Amino acid sequence: MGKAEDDKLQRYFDGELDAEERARFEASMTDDDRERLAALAEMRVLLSGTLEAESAEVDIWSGVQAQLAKEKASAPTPIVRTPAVLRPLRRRRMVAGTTAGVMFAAAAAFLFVLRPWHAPITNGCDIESLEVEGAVATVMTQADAPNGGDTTIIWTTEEE
Amino acid sequence: MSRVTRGSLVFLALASLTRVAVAEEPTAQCSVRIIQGSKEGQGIDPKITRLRPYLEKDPFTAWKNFTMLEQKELTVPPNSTEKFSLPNGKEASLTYVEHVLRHDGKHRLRLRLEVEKGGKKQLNTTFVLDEGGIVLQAGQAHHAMMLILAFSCEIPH
Repeated sequence: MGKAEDDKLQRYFDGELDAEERARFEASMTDDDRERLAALAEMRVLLSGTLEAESAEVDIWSGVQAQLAKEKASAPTPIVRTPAVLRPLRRRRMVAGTTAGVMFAAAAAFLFVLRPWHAPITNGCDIESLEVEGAVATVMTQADAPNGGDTTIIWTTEEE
Repeated sequence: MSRVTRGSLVFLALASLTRVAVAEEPTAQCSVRIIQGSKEGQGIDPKITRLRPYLEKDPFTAWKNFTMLEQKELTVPPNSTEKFSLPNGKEASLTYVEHVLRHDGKHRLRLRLEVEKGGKKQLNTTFVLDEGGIVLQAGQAHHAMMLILAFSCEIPH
């Protein structure tokens, strides 16, 4: 797929094509295009889900609004973005989106596969078999271990 | 095939390789603390730190004096046994039977402890212990005192 087609697919995905271009693109859409669109959509859902979850408790909107109002007052000249300016921007956005998606997937795999966090240490112990000769064995549990759980004690009393 | 699809396939292949590496059974680093409990005297050896809270409660309250005799560090590969001598002349062995990964991600170890004297087995027990957790074996006689063995194992992951 060439750069122009690549760019068109991204613009289609971003809803930036006009009705005529959109119809033309849809008519010429290949299986590979559909596959790429599905992947982009999946990545967007994953990223937006993560970002929403992370930002659920953070109120940044009031700050953003204040900053926008300030910028509007100090810079009244509108920024005009020509297609030549937009193209590298879109490319950067696509690369950034792909990179963020891969990073998100790698982070998820690191957390869920390797589980690097340290789970609290507990003394959980299941005695599966116990045989003694010349002694009597008792399995006791000492409650309220320092880590909050129970501690198993295998107590042997030797016969006289 | 698009770049995104190719990237995803490469990532999945790497992730599955990582999973295989994680599933391999690691070597256990086990610590065996050997403590002597006596009804004579008073006090807990300052070398006993992590185990102090356990010794201050039942069923150890009948003993007043605790001394750390030895701390052994054992490197035990899966399905292997490490032997060590006890101060009362008995021979003990710890076998790392297998690594158990619980569905909630908790790492556990299936271990077998055997104690014998003069070739005669006196204790043979198999248990599953949480990684880093402690299990105590107490009650063996040592002169007029008692031995307490504390086992704890870690596995690198």
